Order: sequence, then structure tokens, then C-alpha cells
Amino acid sequence: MSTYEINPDLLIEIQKYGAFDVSKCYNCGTCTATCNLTSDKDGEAFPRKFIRYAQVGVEEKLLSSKEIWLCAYCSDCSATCPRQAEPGEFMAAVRRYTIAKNDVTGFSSLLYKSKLFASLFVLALGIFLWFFIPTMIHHPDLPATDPNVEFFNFFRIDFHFIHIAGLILAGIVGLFTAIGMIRMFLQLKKVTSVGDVSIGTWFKQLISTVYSELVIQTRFNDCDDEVTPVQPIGSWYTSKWIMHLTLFWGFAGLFAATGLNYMFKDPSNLIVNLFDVEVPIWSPIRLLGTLSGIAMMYGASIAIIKRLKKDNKYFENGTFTDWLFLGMLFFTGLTGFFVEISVYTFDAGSDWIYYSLLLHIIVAAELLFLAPFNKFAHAIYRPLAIWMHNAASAESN
Amino acid sequence: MKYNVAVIGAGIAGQQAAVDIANQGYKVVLIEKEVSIGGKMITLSKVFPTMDCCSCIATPKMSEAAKHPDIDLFTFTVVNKIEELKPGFTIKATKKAKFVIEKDCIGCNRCADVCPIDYPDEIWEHGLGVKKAIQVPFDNAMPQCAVLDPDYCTFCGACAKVCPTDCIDYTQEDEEIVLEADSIVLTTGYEHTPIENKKEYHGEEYKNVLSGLQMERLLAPHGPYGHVLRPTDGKEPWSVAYVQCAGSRDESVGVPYCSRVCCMYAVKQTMLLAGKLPLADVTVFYMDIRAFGKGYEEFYQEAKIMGINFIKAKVAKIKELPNGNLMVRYEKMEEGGGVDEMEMEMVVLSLGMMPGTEVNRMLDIDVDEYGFVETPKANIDPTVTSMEGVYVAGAASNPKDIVDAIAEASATAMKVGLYLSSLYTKGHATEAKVKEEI
Repeated sequence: MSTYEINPDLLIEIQKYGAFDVSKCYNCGTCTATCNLTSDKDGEAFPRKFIRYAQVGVEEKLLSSKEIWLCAYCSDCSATCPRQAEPGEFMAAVRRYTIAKNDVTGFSSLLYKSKLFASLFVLALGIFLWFFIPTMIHHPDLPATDPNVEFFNFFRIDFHFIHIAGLILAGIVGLFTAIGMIRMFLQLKKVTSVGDVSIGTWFKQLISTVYSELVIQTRFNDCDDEVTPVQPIGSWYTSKWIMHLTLFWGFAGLFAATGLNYMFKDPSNLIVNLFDVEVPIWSPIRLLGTLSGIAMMYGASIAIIKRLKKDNKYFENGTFTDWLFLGMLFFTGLTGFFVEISVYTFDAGSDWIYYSLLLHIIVAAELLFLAPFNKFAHAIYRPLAIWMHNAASAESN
Repeated sequence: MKYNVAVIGAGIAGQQAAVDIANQGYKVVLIEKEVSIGGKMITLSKVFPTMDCCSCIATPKMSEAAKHPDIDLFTFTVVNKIEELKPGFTIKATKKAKFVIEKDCIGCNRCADVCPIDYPDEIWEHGLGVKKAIQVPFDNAMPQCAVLDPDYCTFCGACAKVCPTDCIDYTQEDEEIVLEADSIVLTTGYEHTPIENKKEYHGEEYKNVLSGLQMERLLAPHGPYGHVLRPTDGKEPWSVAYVQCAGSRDESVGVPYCSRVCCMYAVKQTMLLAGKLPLADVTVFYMDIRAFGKGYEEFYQEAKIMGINFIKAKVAKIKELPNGNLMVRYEKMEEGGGVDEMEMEMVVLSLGMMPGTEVNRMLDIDVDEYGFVETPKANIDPTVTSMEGVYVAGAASNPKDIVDAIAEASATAMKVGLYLSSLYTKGHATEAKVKEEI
């Protein structure tokens, strides 16, 4: 018999992270048996068990669980729940709660709990960047810039600073992400043997987890039960799997294109290259960016349309921060295309190019800055939790 | 036509109320929308927990109600409108054509013998048995009068040729009737929740998924197959699953309330199955067994002792296999959770109860959000509705078993008697036998 610390306010606290009421739940198990992702062989059955944990207040079981991250929110459980307690939304709320719990600053929990705070913060940061970037003073130590970027001088900005700021931002984001990952590891260590896993197992499990959770993500495909569909199944090209896959790979591709651009070009000439129409649109890195951008825009558009149409139970809920995340992805892609179109349409030095770039940088900076604190963080925590659990169970076998 | 009381619905509660009121000396009109009185009870096999044969205890009551000198019976009659007269009510109804002259028909059923048309009987056999385009509805129907179904009849004339009393009238038309009554008793009963409501069970699509009432027919001595057989291939099922709360206690289908009878009728059916199919594995998937009446808990314990397998779980979905067997998926609640699947040869859905007709809403009385008649004084006066002179009994006010429905019907009869005698003292009531005696 293990002993657990009970948090009597756990359910009330989690309830602040999503629109559900599992106090209605009478533990019939319909949700678990409806779920196509539960498998009996590993005892990975959810969500009912986790609703029970929340009802009785065993916080540890929730924060260290693998199942919370195995859930892909197919929402069949919410559609069939005899108490309409929204078990799918509950699972999502626990994920949000875990993200907030792994964040030491408390910023994440504020973002989730207060729409007002979240919108004010995003707005304030946006306005700040809009005025801050153009009024930045040219750094005297840096060499003089190419005449092509004269308009930057007009705004008195040193374009190098964008990269320094970007690196600082990446550092901050990386730091908070690393802290969250360590906290998750410590949490898991309490209940699994994850502390004693050998390097070989870690590596082996990393490969398989990255492949299944990031590369192909077929978990989403298991969501739709073709034989006994609980909710209508749409066409394959608007399925949740394609939606998420394009969104993920689109973003990853854009991230890579941005990074490669920075790494393989002389930083002092970057802006020159960016605004040089001579750089052909089919140059490998530019092409990667364009294609990835199209993929990401496709995924984001499907997600937004489905949410607006409220296609199934999953798309009916969704918190403000979910919308924020989705909206930022969409606008990052959109403004990115503005930049690309402007570069190939207008003459170098045009205000259009400058303003679209400014907009793009603001949205992208906000997206990256919020990453460890909102839904974006699942990209780290989901594979991490599955990886650590898989490693621990592989080691103990 | 003037009456003291109009009883709407001639199921077991309606019959009991009508007979008890008429026996007090009042004139009663009993209105039934189907071709025979008897309601749901006459289609059942046995009653819990005494295991009495339903036909044996229901037919005498049907007969008494139909033949009572002070009860006028209108079958195949649909109430269209009820108007308040204050005091009293006017009921406008349509007496639908049976295409048979009712007073002449002797119920010999020779018309059915020659009728060439067979079609599924959706009302009395719940789609399992067949009936003829003209026939006496079922063996112990009351009245014993043949009914022709114009939707299926080819008007070949074969029945008219053999009818010994020449009572078949192909030209008969629906008749509008107006009835006046001092008081109304609503015994409109229930329908079971639509089997297609719970899509995950595929009750409509999979033939081996039956409703509880269909299983009653298979278990009844005069049922459609004469034995418990699977509808797809006529095989004796070796494993039968009961899925409880398959239409009630479920907000996803809009029926959050408990239907109160499903636990007990499932237990009863499993015991009957154990007798009919001694080798079959019978499993009941339940959330809670609600055995609350006299002798009910003992009945449930008896079923357990007989070897019926009770599993605490709510079935989430049913999948059909190519051989017609059904895969039942559920969470093992009592074994620490986790999903399990069980292969069954037949599945019975314990469907819930919902109000049967729109009649409840024709009067300006309070009904709840589901259409059940509200009883404002449920604790001290359970048969009184929100309108003076209107009473309710049986499943019209909320789900009820037979025992409770009969008890309530008798209570209603008493209340109606008191109400009518108060009208007499004011001189407001229709003339009745009672008045002559006074």
C-alpha cells in the first residue's frame, strides 16, 4: 500500500483550467471503455481513473502520470458521457494544470486562469515591441551596414540586435523549459524507477518515442473508430491527424529554415540576403521555409475552421489560451508570407517589407516567449512524459 | 355522449382505474389508441418478483374492463383535443377505421387464415413476429375484433368471402367523436426510449441486439419463435448480455432519470433465461442494482445464486462480428479499472421509459421537461395533478412498475369518486347510477 498526500482543493483548482464538471461523475467507466487509445495490456486506462484521482485529491498521480499525455482528446468520451461531465476536457485541463505546475514563476497559471491577464499581457508585449524595435539606437561598436538596409537606419535600428534579442529570448525560453522538464523528471521519480534508467535504454526509448510521438503521430489516427464511430468522421485531409501533423511539421520546418538561414549565412549579410531579390525563391532554405509555411497555414486553418464550426466535442471547448496559441501560430505564418510576398513584390527598402517584417517578428517573439507557459509546452511535456515512462518500464522489465 | 369519467389509456393502470371507478357506480369511458387494450403488460412474459404469468393475470382484468356494463370502451381511438368546460371536459377524438364492423365480429379469425399478406408486427411483437393484413390483433386481445391494415391490404376480397358474419367493410371511414366527462384520468403510460438513441450500441442496426421488450416476447409462452432464438440465424444463444441503463440515467441521450423497472425486469429475464437455456452464460452489466420493492432484493440475490453473472460496469460500445456475435466493451470497475471485451451471442438493452403520448400536453396541466405529468403533492396526494378534476395514475407521471401502477390506479379511483361526489352536492355532475341510488 502506498501512501499519498491528499490535496483537498485539487479538483476545485483544476476546474479553473477548463470547462468541465467531473464532480458529476458517477464512475461508470463509459469514458475509459469508449476511448480507442486505452489499452489494457499496459494498464493504461483513462480517463475515469484520473477523474477519481482528482475527486479524491491525489495530485501526485496526476502530475506524474503517463496517461494524461497519452490522451489526444478525441472527445468520444465527452460525447458519450452519461453525466456530460466532459472527461475529455478534464484531461486537457489536467495537462494545462501540469504545465502550470511545472512552471516555477506562476506566470503560466495566471495566463490560464485569467483571460484578462492573458489578453492584456499579449497586447502590452505587442505594443511594447511595436514601439521598441523601431526606436532602438544603433550600437556604435558594430560595423556600418549595407546601404540596402538604409530604412532600418531611418528607424535608427541596428538589425543585429534582432538576432541578439532573439538569442536572449531563446535562452529565457530554453531556461524555463529546462526547469519544467527537470520538475517533471523529479515528479516522475517519485512514482517510477525513472532515476535508475541506463543510458542505453534512455537512448533506445528516445528514438522510439520521437518516432511515434513527433515524427508520425499516428496516435491521432487511432482516435477515429471506423467500425463504431461515436462522432462523425470527416475526410482524411481534414482529420485531426493531418491537421496536427501539418501544423507540427510546418512549424518545425519554419524553425529549421530560420535557424539554417542564420547559421549558414554571414550574419552581417543576412538582411542583405533577405531583401535581395536575387536570392531565388527555390534556394533550398527559402524553399523549405515556403513549403513548411504552407503546411503550417493549412494545419492552423483547419484547426481554426473546425473550432469555429464546432465539428465535434473537441472543438466545442477550448480555452482562451488555446485560441491564443492557435491564433499566434496562424498569424506567425500569415505575417511570414507577407514578408515573403513583399520581398518579391516591392523594391528593396520599401516600407512594406519593413512593416511586414516588424509584424512578423512581434508575433513570432510573442509565440516563442509564451511557449513554456501555454499549450505550446505540450510539444515538450508530452513526448518527455511518454519517453520517461517508457524508459522506466523498459528498464524494469 | 356524457360520462362521469374519461380514462385515457387502457394499459394496466387504465383498466384498474376504470374498473374501480365504474364499480363505485359511475359511468366511465375508456379510450385506447391501440386496437386492443392491455398496454405494455399484455406483451410481457412474467411479472417480477412473483413470476406470475402476465397473460394469466392481465387477461381477467382486460376482460373485466372491456365487458363492464358501466364502461364504454373505445379502442383504436386517438384523442385530438381536450377542452375545459369548468366543470367538466370535452374530449374530441378520432375513432380510426378498423374496416370491420366491431359489434358483428365474433373474433373467429377466419379472415386471417385466408389473408395472403404477412408483415412484421411492430406493436405487439416488437418487430419479431409477423401478422396478417387482417386479423384479431393477438390471441388474447380485447376486444376480440379483427382489424384490417389498409397500408398492407391489397383488397383482394378473400377475407370478405369467408367472413361468417359479413362484418368486413372496406369502405369504413375514420369517425370523429365528441365525449363529455366530469373528470379525466390520465393513464397514458410510457414508451421505451428509442433504441437508436444510444448510437454506440447499434440497437437498430445489429439484429442480435434486442430491446428488453423484444426479449419479453422471446420469453413469453406465446412468443413469436416459441423459444429464445437469435434473430439473425435462429441459433440458441449460448451467451446473453444485459446492458443496463441503455437509455436512461444518461444525459448524452437526454434521459437523466432512472426508469426504475429495468433492473428488476433484467433480473427476471435472466432467471427465465436460466430456465429456458440452462447452458447459456447470462451476464448483466449494471451500474447499481436498484431492487427497492417488496421481495425485490431477495429476487436479485436469488438470481445471483442461480449463477447469473453480474458485472459492475457500463457498456461503452458494442461491435458486431462477422458471425453475428457481439463484442461488448466495458471498463472492469471492480478489478481496479482497465478495459475488457467480452464476446456475446445476444445482447439485450434495458431501455428506459419516457412518456408515451402527447395527450399529457393537451390539457393545461403542468408536465415536467420530459413530458411526464407533474404531481404537485407527490408525497401526500400522488394522483392529483395541477388541474382540478384531472388525475393521473401509472407511468404517466413517472416510471413505475406494474405493482405500483395498479396501486396508484386504485388510489386514483378513490380520489375521482370523492371528487365526483363533491360535484353532486353542488349539482354539477353528469347523471350517474350513483345518483339514482341516493
